[in-house]
Amino acid sequence: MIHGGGKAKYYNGLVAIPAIGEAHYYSGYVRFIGVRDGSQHVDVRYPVASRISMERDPSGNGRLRFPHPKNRSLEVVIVIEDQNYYNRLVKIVKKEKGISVKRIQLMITEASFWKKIAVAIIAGAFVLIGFFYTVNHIYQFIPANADKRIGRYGYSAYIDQNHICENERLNKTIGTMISEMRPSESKFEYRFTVVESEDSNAFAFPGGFLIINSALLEQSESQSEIAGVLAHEMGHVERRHGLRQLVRMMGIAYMTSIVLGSGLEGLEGVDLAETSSEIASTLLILKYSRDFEEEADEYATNLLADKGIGISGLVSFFEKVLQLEKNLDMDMSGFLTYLNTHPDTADRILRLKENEKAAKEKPKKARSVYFPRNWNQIKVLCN
Amino acid sequence: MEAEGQNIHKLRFDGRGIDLFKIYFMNMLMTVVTVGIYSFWARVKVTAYLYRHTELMGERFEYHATGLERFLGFLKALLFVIPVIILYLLLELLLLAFLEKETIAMLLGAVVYLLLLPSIPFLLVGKERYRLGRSSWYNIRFRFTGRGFELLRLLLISISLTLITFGFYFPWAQVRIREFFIENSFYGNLGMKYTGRGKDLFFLYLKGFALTLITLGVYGFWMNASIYRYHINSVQTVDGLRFHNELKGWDLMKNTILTVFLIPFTLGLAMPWMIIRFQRIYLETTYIEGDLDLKSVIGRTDESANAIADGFSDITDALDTLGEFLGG
Repeated sequence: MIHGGGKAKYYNGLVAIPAIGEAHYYSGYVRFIGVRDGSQHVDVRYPVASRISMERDPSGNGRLRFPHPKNRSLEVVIVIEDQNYYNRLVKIVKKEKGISVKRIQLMITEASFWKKIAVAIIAGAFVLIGFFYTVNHIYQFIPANADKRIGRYGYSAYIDQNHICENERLNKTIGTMISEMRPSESKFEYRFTVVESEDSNAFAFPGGFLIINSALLEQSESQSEIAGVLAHEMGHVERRHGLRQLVRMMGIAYMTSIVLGSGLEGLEGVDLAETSSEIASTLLILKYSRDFEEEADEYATNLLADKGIGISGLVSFFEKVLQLEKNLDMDMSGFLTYLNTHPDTADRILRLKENEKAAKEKPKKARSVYFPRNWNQIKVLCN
Repeated sequence: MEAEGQNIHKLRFDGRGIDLFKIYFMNMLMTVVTVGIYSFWARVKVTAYLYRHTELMGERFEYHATGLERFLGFLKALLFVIPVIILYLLLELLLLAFLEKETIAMLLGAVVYLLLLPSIPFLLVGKERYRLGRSSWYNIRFRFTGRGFELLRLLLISISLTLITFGFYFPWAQVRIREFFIENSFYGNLGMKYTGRGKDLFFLYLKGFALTLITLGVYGFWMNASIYRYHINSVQTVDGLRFHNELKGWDLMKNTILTVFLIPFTLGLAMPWMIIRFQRIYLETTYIEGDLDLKSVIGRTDESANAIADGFSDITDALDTLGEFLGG
């Protein structure tokens, strides 16, 4: 029991005019005694059970909301205007036995903002780590067939829209090379198409569907350059980067869409929130994309060593890319790296060389992929 | 601005950006912690804050909804939506034996739209019943008595006439829909009246569009303000209390420009301040003229108001986001 009472108002939810009087606390009960409209005597008591709500209103008054004893869609409200009395009441209720749920609720509502934030940040960090760990690893439970389905869809749509190079000799040479380079533990059957294009590049759809641009072949100085690029693309396929990227994008989009603007949905002044969520998720997705490129480079280094080819061809390809970037005056180092899908090319060359240095400890294998002598004639057969 | 006299009662709003930011920041963290489930509590917290900081005649408004209630509404709606999705997928599989995939997608898409569109008025009514049913002033609940069928009929007529008249009927349609929402809203036993007329609104739009065109869009803010003012000025209680509003186009323009610049630059962190600014310009320009006889107000409750319609909206919002993501 708290000695004395606190100045309070009582709203019963059925008439608008509040009763004015005092609130008293007895073990487990709040009692209000007062007068409504100057004459009507009011004396009510409500149990301080777990279902009541105790909060401070903007003026600092304590606001107790009890379920209405007769009408379950109503509440009765006692506003305690004596703030000292409310502080004492909070202390007592926190200690009171038998209303443990209320005690926990009060510990939360009465805790300082900084305490709440600190706890939430720690919990949030754990959940975020767990969430992204799950998003990054869930692909292991998705069968390889999913990669093939997604890849086939993109691959057939792509080749429908492009000119295909159908030279038999060229296709046979590339086909042999791909089947010989295919990693022995691979879950995927590789298919490829040489597309007529002036862009010196190659890329892989998930599930082993490769696109090789004719310019890449024409501008290659040796077949080991092509082997290097193919090994890199096989790295994307074998490490399932396409599917993983899709899962990550969905995870990031989910998180950013629920977190940014949380609770503010539909209010005037938040219409443009999507822009910022898009910026945030794009930056995260680009970061992942750069990680995948590095992983594919690492995979290529090992595959090329395993097939007795070595990274010289891949390095030579990247050096050409670097030269092209210099000619175009594209400096992708520094801050701009964050806006790029690929890591800085000079860094990639350095890393490849470091990887190779580390691999030199291992015994060198004989080349197990057939390189025809007349590559310079074959590579231009698309013209 | 009208001076506050004996029978002029202004709405006051004393919310602060920093307080709403604290709530928003906590909401974001808790949404992360609960992998999204907290968003139902988050919305209730924000609405409760805005209500509690709105004051009329020295008495604050109160929002009684709970996050749990919203979450349960969502789950109940999900119980209905999941079987529908399963049925859709089964139908698609069954039809695959007879028809091309594209034809099935078109056919089922059309069926889904035909079934979904008529449900919109029911959802709107359900949401309004829940929103008003959980709002109070002097602990007397508001309530909404409109019926979904009534709104469906109204919408069908309004949309048809607007289409037939190449859009000219739109102001009259807007008036009728406003009237439906206002005249079915009650504060306890106290009813509301809407006195707006299509003709007045038509001329407001006509003047608005002409000037917006001449001023290359700038007058749009003044047009929106004048229409907002018109709608509020056309509301009164059945016992004669009149609502007034003095929203200014300049305030709308200033805040919209601020929003456009500040939100992307702050990665959305400025949102709480912008919300507070908008709440202030809408609420603090509103006042009531006349004296409310509190003794005559009697509490009435809508016991069947629930959060299921909001649950459906949450599901459609989620599906929308998913669709946009997969489509884009």
